Amino acid sequence: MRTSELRIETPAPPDDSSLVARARAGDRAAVDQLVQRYLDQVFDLTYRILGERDLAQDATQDTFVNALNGLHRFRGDASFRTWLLRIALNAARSLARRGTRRREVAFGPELELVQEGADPATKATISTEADRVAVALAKLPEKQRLAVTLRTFNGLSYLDIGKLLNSSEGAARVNYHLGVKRLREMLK
Amino acid sequence: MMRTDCDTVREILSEGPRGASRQDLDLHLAVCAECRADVEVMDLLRRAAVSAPAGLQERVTRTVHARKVTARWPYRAALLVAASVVALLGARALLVQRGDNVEPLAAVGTPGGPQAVTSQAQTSSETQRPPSGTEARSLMQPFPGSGLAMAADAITLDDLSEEQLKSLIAEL
Repeated sequence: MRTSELRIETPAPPDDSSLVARARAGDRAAVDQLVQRYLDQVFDLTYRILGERDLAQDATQDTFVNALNGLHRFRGDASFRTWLLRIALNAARSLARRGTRRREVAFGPELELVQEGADPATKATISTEADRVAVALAKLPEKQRLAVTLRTFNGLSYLDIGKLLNSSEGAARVNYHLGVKRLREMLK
Repeated sequence: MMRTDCDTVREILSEGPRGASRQDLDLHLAVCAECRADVEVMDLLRRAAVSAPAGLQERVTRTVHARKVTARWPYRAALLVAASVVALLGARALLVQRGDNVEPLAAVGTPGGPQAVTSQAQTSSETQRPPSGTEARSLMQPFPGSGLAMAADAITLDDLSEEQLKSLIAEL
């Protein structure tokens, strides 16, 4: 039997809009897929704002509960991701306002790395680097920190970053570049 | 070859190549320490991304589904009750309004002619005190001969203000 005959074509993953439509219709699997797809992005963003894992977990949960139980409010003006990240931003800010602990508390030592499978030596090196970056990132003014986070970790366009941060596309671009510049100086 | 300056390179680094080839980029990076530093920072940033802790996905999906069940039903039930009440009140108001119009139309189309309607009207008026002023509309019998009489103090949705309607729905 030829190899080509054995090839199984895996279907392309459903796009956000079809998942949202299914989730609106009560499809639990679609809800689960949306959570799985954006969990890391939402957690990363809320962690960058709150600086603490426990709070970031609470904010992440609040984000998905509010978003997925309020899908009727999603009009599709922006992408689902941008809409979701806006909710995450608000959830984290709300927790930060309410919270007794502030984000300066615990950046760094409790970071969980993406590279789970790395060997201990590599992991230690990466961990040190990641800690340094996280601490440096935490020192940036909020708009610069969020511009860098949303651009680098969430892959948003400057236009979407501007919308999320209530600023213009140009201001988002400037904040991003200023943030990277300051990070570079801090990480020398 | 297109000219690749620092600003262009920064755009490329953050947005991906647009018109500049990989070769242009490498040529610039070879001679520009500042842009090389930017690349290093961005690499570091990407490696410093944090992932959600184990168990969070399950916790989130469980909560989302639980809230969906508990939050959806009272909301839907309240909507259903409110819609039913509004429909009932609307139907009642319609009956009253239709009562205004039915009488003359029935008078034209009824085999007994206007006299038949008049006798029905007389029958109904015997059971009620004489209408006065604005009460006349609500005292009108909606379906002559049906035996369905409106109470003397019947009101329609049209008589209620916006505020009253809202408080009525809220009470229900």
